[in-house]
Amino acid sequence: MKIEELRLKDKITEKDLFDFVFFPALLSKEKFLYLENSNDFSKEIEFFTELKRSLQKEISDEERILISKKIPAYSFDVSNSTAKIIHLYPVEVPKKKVKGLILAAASENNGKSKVTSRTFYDDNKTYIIKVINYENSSKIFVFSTLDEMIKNFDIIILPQKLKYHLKDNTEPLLLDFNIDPENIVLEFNLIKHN
Amino acid sequence: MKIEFHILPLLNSLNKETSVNKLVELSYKIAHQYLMFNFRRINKILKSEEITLQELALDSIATLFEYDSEKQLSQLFIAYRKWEPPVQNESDALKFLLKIVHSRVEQHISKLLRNSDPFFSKIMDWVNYAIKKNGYKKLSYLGTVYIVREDVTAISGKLITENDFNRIPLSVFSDMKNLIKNVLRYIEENLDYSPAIPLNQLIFRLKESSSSVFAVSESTTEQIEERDVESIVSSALEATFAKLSEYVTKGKISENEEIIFRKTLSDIVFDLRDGGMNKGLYKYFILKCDGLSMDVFREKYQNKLEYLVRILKANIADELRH
Repeated sequence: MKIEELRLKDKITEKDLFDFVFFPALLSKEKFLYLENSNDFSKEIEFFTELKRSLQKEISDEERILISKKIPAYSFDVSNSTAKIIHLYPVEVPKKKVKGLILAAASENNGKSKVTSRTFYDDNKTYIIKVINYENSSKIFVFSTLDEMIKNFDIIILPQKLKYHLKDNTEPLLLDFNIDPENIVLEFNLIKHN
Repeated sequence: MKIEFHILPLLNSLNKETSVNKLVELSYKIAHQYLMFNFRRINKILKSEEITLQELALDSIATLFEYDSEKQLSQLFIAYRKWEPPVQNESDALKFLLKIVHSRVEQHISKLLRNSDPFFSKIMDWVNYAIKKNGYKKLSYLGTVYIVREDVTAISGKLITENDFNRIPLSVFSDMKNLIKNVLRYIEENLDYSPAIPLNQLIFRLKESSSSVFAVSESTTEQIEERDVESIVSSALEATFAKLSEYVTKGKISENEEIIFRKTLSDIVFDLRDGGMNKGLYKYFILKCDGLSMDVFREKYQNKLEYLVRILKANIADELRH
């Protein structure tokens, strides 16, 4: 038995180890059982197992950018990268303190339609959303503080989870009702201006 | 765990951008994992070249994905077309990609070692000559290149580990004329491994054994060279110092700066002799010029030091040829 084992050990090739990990059905039963029950080739099997795991793993956008810098044949469009999700929260502006009494005739709403606005920022203040509510409608403007045009993106209004798609941010999103979001999510891809 | 990628259709549609993209990504992953697995061996290269593992992986495979004048990925395409036995199924396709990527990574590592270490280069030339002359050949196994007897068609059995190879007594490496035969015999008879010698490790062991390789027959002239490493290094360093003195004469650097350059070059040559450069130029320089910022180094000294190190390596290579 010992001699047989030794003989089998000497017969194990790189292809057998490769098949054991990637295509076990191609391996003879004898070799498969030997490799499964022996530690002789544990390091080599670990090599192929790690390789298999690595081949199945997604690479990051940072790596894709690095690849596109080093290998011109590789085309990586940043706009096709995994969608970025940005959370924006309302900026609470302190209300102006008004000294003294205001007569009804002098009040801001007198004779005018009621217009209110709220501003939303993300943590880095990279993106700004301005929500303007008119009497029965609203406009949502999306800005980037970087030199970026935002294309092909979604606005998600929370907590209602109202989701709208915009081709770009050159025009505001128009809604025929008022909204009062708690916060807003942007899911989008960026294209740098040339 | 089922594999969820199909390489054969990608190889059969190399004219499609999506196929090329996917193959580049797969090749990158293969190269990256190979380097991770061999991290101990390549760590010194990463430090001396001041590059990341990802960059090394990409540099290794870049030529595979270069387009020729007809907008074809010439190297990958030709290798795929000529592969023997021909790639016929998914198993063959993955094996093909692994073999070609691993061999590119090893070639790139060897190139970097040769460029950074003239001694490595010299010994590699000598070993390659000895392989051809004495009836041996090179075969790769898990990407690593091994020396085997000429009649071996595929390596099988258990191969020697790095640790065990490094434990082989230096005396086994001393008879340069019968070096490969002696090492193979030792591995086979004294250790329970298949007869195969890891090429790069052999070169490192020969380098470790210092002057022995320079005292054997020159591969081309068969003349006995008796020069030792010390004299080679000191001649090369002196020639480089002569160049450095010109900088002072021409007012490009001060005499104090010359001293710093001299000390830095001496450290570098010490490491070159002792296994290769193990850190970036800035780190060598700052050891002799305490408190110098990276910005000032880049602005004032980097180009000069890079040039001098190139001269130094060329001088060593010249000395080895003489």
